[in-house]
Amino acid sequence: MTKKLTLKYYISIIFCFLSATLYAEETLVPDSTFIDRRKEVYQGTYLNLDIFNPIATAWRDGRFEGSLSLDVDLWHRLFPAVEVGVMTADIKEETYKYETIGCFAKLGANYNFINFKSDRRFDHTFYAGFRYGYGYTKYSLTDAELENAYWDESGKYANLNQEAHFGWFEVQVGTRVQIYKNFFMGVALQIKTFGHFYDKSPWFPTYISGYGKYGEDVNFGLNYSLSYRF
Amino acid sequence: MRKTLIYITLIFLGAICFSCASECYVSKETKLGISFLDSTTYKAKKISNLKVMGVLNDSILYNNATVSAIYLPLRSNDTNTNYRLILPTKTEGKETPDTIFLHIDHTPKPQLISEECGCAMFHELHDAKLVNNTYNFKIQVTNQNVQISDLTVSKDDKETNIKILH
Repeated sequence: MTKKLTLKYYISIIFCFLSATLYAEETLVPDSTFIDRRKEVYQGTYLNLDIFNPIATAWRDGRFEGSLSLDVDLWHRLFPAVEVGVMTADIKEETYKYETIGCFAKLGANYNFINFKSDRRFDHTFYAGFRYGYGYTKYSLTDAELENAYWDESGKYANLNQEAHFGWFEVQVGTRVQIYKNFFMGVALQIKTFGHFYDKSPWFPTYISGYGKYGEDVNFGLNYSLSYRF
Repeated sequence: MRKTLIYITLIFLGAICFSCASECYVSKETKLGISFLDSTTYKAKKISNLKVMGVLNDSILYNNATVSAIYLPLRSNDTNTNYRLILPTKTEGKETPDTIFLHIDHTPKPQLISEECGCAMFHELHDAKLVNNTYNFKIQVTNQNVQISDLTVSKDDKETNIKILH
């Protein structure tokens, strides 16, 4: 199965980057005391809470996904990161019911391309990064109405309590802007590909925790996060 | 206040764009694929005058066809499906054609393909046997998963589940 890359993804990314950038220009000026940060290896730890995916539950037919990530600022260039999250869905249609629950974790790092001079006033970043993601998904399909014309069979069928362990590779591109002191806001585009199951099975989850819809060669994701730096 | 409203609107417009539904690009038919191969070269070899129908079902699936692959529907309410493969007789003096019975053991379970496509019945193959095998065909299960196929894949390129060597 192939999925067309549609213009809608690029339009949505432009909207989100624009809104983050516009908001950053209006922030209060943080303390301008000069600190030579070039020599510091460790420059803080960020805790990031994604708010886009929980809000998107409203138009995803009840499919909820939320995540929390942690990344460490090294030289303000390299940011090793770990992310954990959960997904649940309870989809009820006329011809089937689908329930799923799962969790995921990602491990990787970002590289910052801007703003690492010693005399910088803000700690904004614009970065690209990679992740390896792992997702565990448990799912059940019930009341699936199907017909078999040749054998003249019809009815409601079920496939209960299936489990899947899935891995994928991910590229992230994003920006994080300093709003006020240790508070940041960020937006990131995620490009997920090379998905693979750990176990072979004829059946597969329709939605995979952390990855999205199964069957697409490439999945796109979006994070809009609120961050605090320790 | 006005700028705040603009930011919120931009975010939601972007999010809505992300959520637009796509179309269904796959066929929901799941059929057992059987390919006929030369027993020496393992290359596709057509079989002639083949008639295929289900046991206890008079509807003919293939009628005197010359094919190198056939695609058969499996039962949804049972864990085994039987077919009759009717071929010209190999026995001298016999006027009626030979009937070889194909017995398939499988587990049917529904699968939600996607919200756009809906559900289809998938099967996991366990075993395949030929009964009354007057042609001495050899049979092998090569792919246990009977699933949907991509609409963009041509019929000749579809992967099959069973190989019959003759």
